[in-house]
Amino acid sequence: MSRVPIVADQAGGYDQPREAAERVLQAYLLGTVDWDTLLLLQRRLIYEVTDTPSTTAVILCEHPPSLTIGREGSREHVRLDWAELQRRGWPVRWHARGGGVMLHLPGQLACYPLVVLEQWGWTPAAYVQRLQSCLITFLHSYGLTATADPCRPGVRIGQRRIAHIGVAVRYGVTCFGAVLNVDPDLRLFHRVHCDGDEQPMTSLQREIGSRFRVSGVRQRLLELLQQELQIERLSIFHTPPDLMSRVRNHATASRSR
Amino acid sequence: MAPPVLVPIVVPDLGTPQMVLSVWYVRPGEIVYAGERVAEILIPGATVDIPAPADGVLAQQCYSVQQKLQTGNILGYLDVSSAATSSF
Repeated sequence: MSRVPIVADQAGGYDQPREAAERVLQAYLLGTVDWDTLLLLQRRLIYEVTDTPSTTAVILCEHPPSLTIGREGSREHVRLDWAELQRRGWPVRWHARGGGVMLHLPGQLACYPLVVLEQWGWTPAAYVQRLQSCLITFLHSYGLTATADPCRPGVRIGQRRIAHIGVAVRYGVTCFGAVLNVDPDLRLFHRVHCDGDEQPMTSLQREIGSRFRVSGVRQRLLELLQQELQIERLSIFHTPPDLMSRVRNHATASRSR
Repeated sequence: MAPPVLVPIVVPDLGTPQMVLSVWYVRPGEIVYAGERVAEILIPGATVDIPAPADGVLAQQCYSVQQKLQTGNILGYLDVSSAATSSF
């Protein structure tokens, strides 16, 4: 699979020489990504951002219908029995991330930055707060009054949560991140208490009353993230890197010995 | 037999006082390499892997899963003596 860089820097244009240490934000704007692919992609990008200190990455994608449970979650928050989950075709996955239960549906924007915390001098708690404030600023830009959830990380509009946060820090690099409801089918949240909250979640579409598409709003979130990280140069990819290339190369090298 | 040389695994500053030990990835007696994750701490909204500070053998776990932690607590000790690491 080939990678297609679309946009280069906003500062100087394509032909200007750049300093070697200039920071770059690699943004992967992907469609629907299944969990196995996401885990592989995150693992690969953790290596890339630790190998290349000037690089930071972010994955913006959707997920197929599924449930994930983080370390702060419990199976009790899912009010559907196994037969019902099977009938709906919703696999349940336990992830070693923060946050609780999250129901993943089409119409959500998942935002997973891979940030080497040491480079920014941020603690994990400060990073969670920054991610949260980035989402609040994003919602303010649509005229919505959003607040940080005082009980559990995430973002609320009134009584309902609109965004979930569940981060993992591995080898000093953040992975997983936030999931924002753009226009998912909200009826399905009545039977899943996301992050333990009995109130069903809300969405951008419900709060504003207009139709939104994930691809239409992700650019704005990306720009805010770029501002938060203070990285001027942005590279956008619409396909993931070839996740198996290193494995294949290694296998070929082994055979040729 | 040479005495053990113990190196502490210290809870780093994660930016919050709300910390709980969520997982031990290594059992006492198991070999770990510097940088390899030995434990995981849960803070609100995030899990944080704790790396081994040196090559060694996990000699002791000082906290159990679900126990609350504070910055500077010693999670456990690695034995980095030549006797412990000779089997590497």
